[in-house]
Amino acid sequence: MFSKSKRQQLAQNLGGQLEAAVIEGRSPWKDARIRFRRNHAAVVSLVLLVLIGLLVVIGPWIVPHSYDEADWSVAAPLAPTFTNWHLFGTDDNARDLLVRVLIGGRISFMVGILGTLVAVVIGVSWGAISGFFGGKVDALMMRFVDVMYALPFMLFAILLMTFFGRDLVLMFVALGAISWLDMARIVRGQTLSLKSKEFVEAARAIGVPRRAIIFRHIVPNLLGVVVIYATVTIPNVILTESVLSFLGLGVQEPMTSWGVLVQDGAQHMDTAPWMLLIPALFLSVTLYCANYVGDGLRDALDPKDR
Amino acid sequence: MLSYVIKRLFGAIPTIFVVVTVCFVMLQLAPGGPFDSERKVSPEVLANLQAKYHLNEPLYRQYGYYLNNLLHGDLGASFRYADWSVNALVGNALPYSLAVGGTAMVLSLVIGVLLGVIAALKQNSIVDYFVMFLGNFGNAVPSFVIGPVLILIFCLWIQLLPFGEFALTPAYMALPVALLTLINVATLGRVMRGSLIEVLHSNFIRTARAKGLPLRTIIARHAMKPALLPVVTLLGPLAISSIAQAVVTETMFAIPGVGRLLVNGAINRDYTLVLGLVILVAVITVLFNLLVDIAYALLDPRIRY
Repeated sequence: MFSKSKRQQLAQNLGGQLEAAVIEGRSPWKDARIRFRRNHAAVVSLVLLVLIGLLVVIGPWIVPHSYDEADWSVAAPLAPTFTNWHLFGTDDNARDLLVRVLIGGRISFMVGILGTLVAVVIGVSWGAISGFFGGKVDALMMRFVDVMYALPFMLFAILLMTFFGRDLVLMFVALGAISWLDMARIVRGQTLSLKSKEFVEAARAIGVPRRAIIFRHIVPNLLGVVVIYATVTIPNVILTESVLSFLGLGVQEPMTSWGVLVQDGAQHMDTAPWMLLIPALFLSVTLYCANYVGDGLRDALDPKDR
Repeated sequence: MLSYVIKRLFGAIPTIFVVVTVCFVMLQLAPGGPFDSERKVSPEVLANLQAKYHLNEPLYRQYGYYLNNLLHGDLGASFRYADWSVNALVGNALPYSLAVGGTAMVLSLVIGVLLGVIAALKQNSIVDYFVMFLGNFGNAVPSFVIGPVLILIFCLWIQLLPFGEFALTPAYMALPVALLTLINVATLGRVMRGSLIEVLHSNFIRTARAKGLPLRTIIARHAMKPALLPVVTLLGPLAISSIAQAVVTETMFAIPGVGRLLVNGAINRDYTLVLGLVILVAVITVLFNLLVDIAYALLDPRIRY
């Protein structure tokens, strides 16, 4: 119908139009970034959180004290002062509070992130398997999640700490082991919709084993949702860790965490209120910011909200 | 209705069964037997003791005895406190927890609903902002941070309230009850505000207005009942979180209640005590959730079973 040159021209035109369309369009990630930036509270929280994170990671190397060494050259407990660079003062054992707050923050952040990782691994596997197999398996697995939901999970944390000791590694495993329920539910829902997609059908048609379908084809597609809910989980794990430490069931002396420091401060608040107020402030600001960032991310990435 | 209640009751049994089984397994995994002490007992005495407590029988028989005891309401003997049964320990502690927790629950329901209603009716007023602020604050700042700060202010700085021990008197109960109420009101107030605003926008309220009913009547007779439904749903999770909160507040304010018993049990590795408390709390939670579900079904005429 058309000459060869005409066809080429048409094709070029179409290509140009497509290119223009690509430039005008926005990827979902860019969309999300724009929406997140519009949420000022979340942006401010993110900046604060990054600052605290940097402080906690780098700070202990700069501060000229160690978290478990007493400085008896000054009377303890010492109020915040520039003497010997005790900017946050010292605790009742003459240990520098600044470095203890920073080290405690390290532990809290670490437990929060590692605990969340454990929760992600359990939750994603549980949810993906349950959603993929469906039927009786699904009913049974989700029934178990319902059962866990109906129980106060602080109780489980205490139970696990009673039986498995107060080791740091066991602690975040235990915290992860009780924080995966939301993740499992959300992942299951996503899996249900993913498993009827064409690429899963194709994989099944060419005989990919079921385990490979779940972990190579379905789980990678869950990444977005998982990342969002992981950021929401981190502050919760940090909070649980500090409650346990506050109760004396978590991190043990001389190692410290924000929960331990608040507990310690609460015991000496009549003579040294800074021992209570400084770690309390750090913990509260971190949790407050982390909640805002998590909510902001969820709002920005949630496709339902378009 | 009755069939619904029975169905839910049967649904609750597997939950409790799972918890009990998990507890039994954990008890088996716990290091050390109940009679491993520094004082050596002769083999004959040990054998007698083991026979008395059925420790020489196969595991499934032990599990049977365990279930049987639980069905009779016997939570076993404490691992640490000699001559104390778990039942007796709990019996001593429960009144304190119930008094503090119950007062806080009633207070927070009244205050939370009231504040939520005012906030919903007068949006962008001071009360509204207060409810929203409280909601954010209560979500982010943990109770074990608020608690010591409250003690610092009220007991040490202005010395209004006593501190250090505990008795069931208003002066000692004021701070823990206030703390628990604050946390609950943060959630309740926000939910009540949201749901009342939503109800006030619905068609049947517009009809009531069009009929010329005064606002007071509309709210009292038409809007309140549907608006309260989300609050009823919230009671279940709220009760669960109250138990977790009780653990913290009781430790903080030296209240000799169930929460403190649990923490002390955990610190002392009193396995039977902790497991007994876990089972007890699990049963209470499941029953409470059941009651909330039934209350919900009774309140909402749209739900038919």
